[in-house]
Amino acid sequence: MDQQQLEVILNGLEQGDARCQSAFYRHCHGELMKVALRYHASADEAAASFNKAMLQVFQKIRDYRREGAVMGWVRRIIVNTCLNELRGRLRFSSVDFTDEGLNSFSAGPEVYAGIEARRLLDLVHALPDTTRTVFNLYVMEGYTHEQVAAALKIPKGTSKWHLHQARTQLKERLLQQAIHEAHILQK
Amino acid sequence: MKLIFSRNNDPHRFDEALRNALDALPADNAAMDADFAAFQALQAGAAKKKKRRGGLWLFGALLLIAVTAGLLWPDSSSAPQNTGTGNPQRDIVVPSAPTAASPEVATVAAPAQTKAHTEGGKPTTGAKAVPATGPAQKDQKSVVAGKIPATPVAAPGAPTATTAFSTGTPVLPAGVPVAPASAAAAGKKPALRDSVARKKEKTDTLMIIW
Repeated sequence: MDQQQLEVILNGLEQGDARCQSAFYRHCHGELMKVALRYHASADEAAASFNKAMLQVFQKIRDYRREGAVMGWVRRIIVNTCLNELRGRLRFSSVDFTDEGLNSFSAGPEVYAGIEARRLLDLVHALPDTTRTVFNLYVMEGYTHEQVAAALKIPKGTSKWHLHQARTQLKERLLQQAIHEAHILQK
Repeated sequence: MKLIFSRNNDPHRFDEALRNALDALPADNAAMDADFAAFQALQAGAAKKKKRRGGLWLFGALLLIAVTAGLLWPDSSSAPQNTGTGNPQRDIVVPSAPTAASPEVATVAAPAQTKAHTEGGKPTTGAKAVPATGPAQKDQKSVVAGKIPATPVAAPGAPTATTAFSTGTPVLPAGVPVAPASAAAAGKKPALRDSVARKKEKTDTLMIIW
């Protein structure tokens, strides 16, 4: 979808045109459904969050000032909707964690060899809700620890600890995966 | 080799590798139609809710208007009554509820009416409220003697007063001045205002003492 088509669709969305809504929904589904899928372990929950976010997009399309990329604006709405959905479920216990502990993480080349998109998503889904949410906000959305702490109303140290947990658990599982594949290849 | 090792140790490199891998995940379009159908149902539900909320707004607005009107005029009988002459100077404002200017009326009306109502067991109206004979007449005599207060009785020829069944408060037709109980009991014309009559009584008493 080029910029001109997008402009036409955005004008249609402001008028509440059903065909434009359908076209924009399908365009966003292809691009941004995976964002919702990263926050929710269940595909149904991810679809429900995505639909709620799209409803908000259509309701608030007049608030979009057409200054930045529309997909960035929609993505932010999707992330916020997912966080709202998860907020009731997330239980954080306060942990004090330092930058030294966070930077002590190391991963060898064998770990990188095991990274493959489809499997990696399953590994991310296997993380606890709290750890997964911090990982998504910090690594995927580019939040700082201050922003993560403010978004989830947790101390900065807790955010750092959960990020460290996410990295460590993902590294271990990637290593196990790599070892498992190596065994299969040897056989 | 050493350089590669140190880069491998960098947690940010690990993050970047994960981000790239997850971003490269192909879009799953298989469920798109089902998701869009669910979205349309959600949109229809939201529109219905909005309509219902609109109805609630209308109901709330009407309720607010009714409450505001009720606060301004809690009792419709206490609202100013216009006699309809068109001249605000001449139009007499008659409050149906007893005022401070006529305290006798205020204290008198309730007990006598309550008694009449409990004895007769029937709602009384106008002149029928005080029959010619019976306990009510006794009460009236007692009023003259200064013992028990009684209901005010309109002068002969004047428009008859009606009594509200529920409260026992006499409701006079608009434009009729309220006569003081003592004057009515004595059979005098209720032309004098209550305060003036009371002043006159006081003067008479003083003169007798003098």
